[in-house]
Amino acid sequence: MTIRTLVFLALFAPSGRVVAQDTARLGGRLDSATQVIVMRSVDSARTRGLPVEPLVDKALEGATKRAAGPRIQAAVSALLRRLELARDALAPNPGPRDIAAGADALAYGATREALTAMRAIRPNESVAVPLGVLTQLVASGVSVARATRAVADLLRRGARDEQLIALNEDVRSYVAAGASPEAALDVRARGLTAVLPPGGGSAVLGDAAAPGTQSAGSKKP
Amino acid sequence: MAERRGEPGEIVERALESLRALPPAGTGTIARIVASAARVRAVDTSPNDDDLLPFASPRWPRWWALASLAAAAVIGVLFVGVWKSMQPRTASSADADAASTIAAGGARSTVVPIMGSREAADAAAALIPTQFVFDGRARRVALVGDFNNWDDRATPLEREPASTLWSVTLPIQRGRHIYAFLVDSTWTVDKRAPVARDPDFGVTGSVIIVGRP
Repeated sequence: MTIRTLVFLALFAPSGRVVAQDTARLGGRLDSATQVIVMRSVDSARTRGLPVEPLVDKALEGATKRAAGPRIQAAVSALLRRLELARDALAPNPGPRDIAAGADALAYGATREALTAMRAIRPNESVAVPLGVLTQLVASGVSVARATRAVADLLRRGARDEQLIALNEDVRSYVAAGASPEAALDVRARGLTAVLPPGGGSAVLGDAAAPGTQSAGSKKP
Repeated sequence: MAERRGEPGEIVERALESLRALPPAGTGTIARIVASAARVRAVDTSPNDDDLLPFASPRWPRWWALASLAAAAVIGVLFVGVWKSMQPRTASSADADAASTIAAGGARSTVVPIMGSREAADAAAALIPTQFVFDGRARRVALVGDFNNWDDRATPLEREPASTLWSVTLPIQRGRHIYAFLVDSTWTVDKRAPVARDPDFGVTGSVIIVGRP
């Protein structure tokens, strides 16, 4: 084997190895027709520079939930489209976790503009957690517009990931106790705003939002 | 030059004839001559080895040059990635390193993205130990989620002695994750975690957002 052969293998073997890894991850848990179509989506994602793990995860999720092949194929194809939308909205250099989180948020109704706004506020840091909190707030019943505005304003004021996660958990507990989702978000966002340094953002949550007041029930900023 | 164009066997034969015609020589002289013949043979036969690869033919010099450039580009990209990964990280990611999330249920992926080395380094740094707890009577409890390939054999929970509490802790990437428990092979959501609707497959799971110290 010559040096040229070794260089040739070094250049071209990795792509084959990566495809084999994806196939191995699927591990025969899909029927052959579904696996072919899923791998086609995976190849397409890789060609377009999109993360492939979410697609493989989605297929495996479908297999674990015993979904039919066509349903898995449809879910993977839809996710591929969302990943591309998210990548474009989070340009110029989104990481794979950001793209996956963006695709998740889009699935819950977040807009492309919301993703772009998050990226603009945090150009050099991951937005995976803020997008995850946005998604979960929407899932809790907060309107997309309200949740987007709240998370964007808190980010603009310098809220850290763990503060956003705490806010989301508090909103959930308040909702479980009977509060309306948007009222719960207003209360906790106001409490968090009170401990954040004044930023360039607008008033956090509409007319009622007045930084500096913290509800008696608040456990933490 | 005429010798270099001859057949290898012919060259060796000619060398031997020359040796026979000479007066007796020392072993050192003979060794030098044989070594010289062997070098000539090596030059003549190397193109035959390369015939195994089409691009090694003289017809492929441009292809080979492009491949070399590509190799140089790959090495350059890797170098830049490694260099960037060595730069100081942000405060929030540094916080995450020291973080240990104790969550009552919930999870994410240990799969390192196949992207640039900076991404891989960030992903590795962002893994946060996360605990999942299930409370109930069962013979076997497993965790499935987007962090373990939804594999029911990958992450079994361990029961506390003389208790109905089951738990497992595993490193998970920052972000929002979907998971569930398989309690004696039955899909079970985490009662203490938010529920994730599932428009794709219609089976709700539980949600955890990882990233909190």
